[in-house]
Amino acid sequence: MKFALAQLNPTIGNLQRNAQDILEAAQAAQVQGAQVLLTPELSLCGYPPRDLLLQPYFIQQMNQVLKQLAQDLPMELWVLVGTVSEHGRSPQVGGKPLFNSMALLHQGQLQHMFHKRLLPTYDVFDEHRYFEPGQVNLEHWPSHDHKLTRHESANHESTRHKSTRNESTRNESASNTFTVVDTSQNPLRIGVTICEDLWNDDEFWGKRSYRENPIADLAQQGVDIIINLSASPYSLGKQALREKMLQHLAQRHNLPILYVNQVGGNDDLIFDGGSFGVDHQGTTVCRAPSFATALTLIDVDAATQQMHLGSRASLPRSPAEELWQALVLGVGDYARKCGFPRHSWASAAASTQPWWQRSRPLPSVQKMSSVF
Amino acid sequence: MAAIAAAALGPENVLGILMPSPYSSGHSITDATALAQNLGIATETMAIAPTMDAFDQALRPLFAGSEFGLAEENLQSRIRGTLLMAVANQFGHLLVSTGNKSELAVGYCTLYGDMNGGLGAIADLPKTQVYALCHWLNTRPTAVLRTLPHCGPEIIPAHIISKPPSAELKPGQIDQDSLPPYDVLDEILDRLICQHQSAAEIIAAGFEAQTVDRITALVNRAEFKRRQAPPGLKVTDRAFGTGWRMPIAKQWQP
Repeated sequence: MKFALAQLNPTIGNLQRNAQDILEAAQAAQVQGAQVLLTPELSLCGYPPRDLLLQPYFIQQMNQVLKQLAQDLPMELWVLVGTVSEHGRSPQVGGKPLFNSMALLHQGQLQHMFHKRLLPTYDVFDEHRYFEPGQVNLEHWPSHDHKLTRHESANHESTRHKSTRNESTRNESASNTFTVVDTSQNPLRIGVTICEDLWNDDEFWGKRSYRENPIADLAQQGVDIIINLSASPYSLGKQALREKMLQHLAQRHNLPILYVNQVGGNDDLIFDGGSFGVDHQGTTVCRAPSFATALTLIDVDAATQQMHLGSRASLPRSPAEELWQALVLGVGDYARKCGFPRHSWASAAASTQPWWQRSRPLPSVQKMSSVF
Repeated sequence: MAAIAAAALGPENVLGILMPSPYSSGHSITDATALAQNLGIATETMAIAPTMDAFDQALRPLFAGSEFGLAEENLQSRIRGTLLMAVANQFGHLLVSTGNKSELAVGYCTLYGDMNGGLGAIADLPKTQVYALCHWLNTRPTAVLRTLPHCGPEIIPAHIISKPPSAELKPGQIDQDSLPPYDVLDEILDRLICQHQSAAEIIAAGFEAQTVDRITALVNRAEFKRRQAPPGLKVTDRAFGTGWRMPIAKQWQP
């Protein structure tokens, strides 16, 4: 079962353009035989949208663009799109009016909405200002011991999938999992986490930052693979830390993990991408380049959860090279996304090249220079 | 900074403006011009002496009897900042602010002067790392040559790296007249800003008490400036900006 990791560079608030990028990634992923497409946290509006989230009209537009996108996407593909969703009961029960969510789109429909459970409010993050943490109904199934043999697990999954589809769909959504069946009818149960959900491993950090641990919860539910959709800002040496942490998590829970990160500069924050996957032993099996948009494919055997080695982009060779690439991306994106030079935005935006072939993520400088 | 902008936007989209004052050294002009040539960016020159005279005249009645001081020094920076914003305004350019993290930490930057701009590109890079980046650039790494294909044998002229850092706001001035060497300063700042250490802890780690107290006071006092700085690109665990929320009107010394 091929997963496509879309390392996108969204422009905050440009919903149409971001949706178009997701659509182009989906079409490319389908051509390359992918069944599932993963996009970063809040990929529809870009991260961080900050106080745009306080505007009801913005939320309304996001919902509308998402609905349209669901219909435009290739029907067979399962696509996870980062968006917000409404916490409908907040006027009665209190709490924030929105969730930070991933929408699962398939066959033209919204299948599930998964909510982020751990909301960071340190350093540059301020998610409790906007979001209600997601709650889960943990499904302790098939067993507390997730190391059930793969064969038993697969049989149990497919039986359940056929007989009680509606119920299981509802339960799955509430437990942040969903199941995709490959072409040989092998089911793969996928656990969905969003960014911070990953960053609370007491063993790795030597302490807990939150009471709940979404990764441990998913492992206990017997998922076959965990995916994490992120918008994780860059700082020097961050990618090495992420890979070390995922290696630890994969080994601890004996599970493969796919990690998709946003790329690009948004105001003061630089997102470095570096999306990657680790197998259940913690070995890095694929890696997208840092500081560039990419579409990276990884093949997971649904029956055995083995991963075939994919392409692995090399990491920057020195701290200086890493800083250089970060700052060049940060300055370039800031200028382009603010619309400099001011008068040429409209003509420059009409680039015909698909995003993954562009060396620079937005209207190319070459096009802009003629009117600079 | 100029190299980053040239790589990010294309050298043909970057303009450097030289604004010498009577206190500017000859080498500050020749070094800047050499850098611009290496990068392939255009430059313009605007001398600021006539504007300085005009400001002097306006201030003379009020400043009569007082010594030449910080206000006059900073006027040079403010004149430059005003001229740069005028150019940006006129042509729709983005003014990129050149302050680094060490300067912003201790307030070695002038409000409405060199702090003007839309983006602080190296605002989270300590001075020692700025130097490290320059040295690395001069090894002509392939990653850089890809983005700056027309650069010469060196990117940053050697003299820019080797000369003592100076704002050149009065004759013979250098940064180390009033600051410890940058490697010492940056380590104290890292402990203070990123590691949340108190002055006592830093002194206990082997730094001179007088220096630590002075740096701590400078960092405290510069809060009002940082609050008015352009957004700066974050590259460390703790950058000034959204992740730094310090009160300005406070009476607490760490």
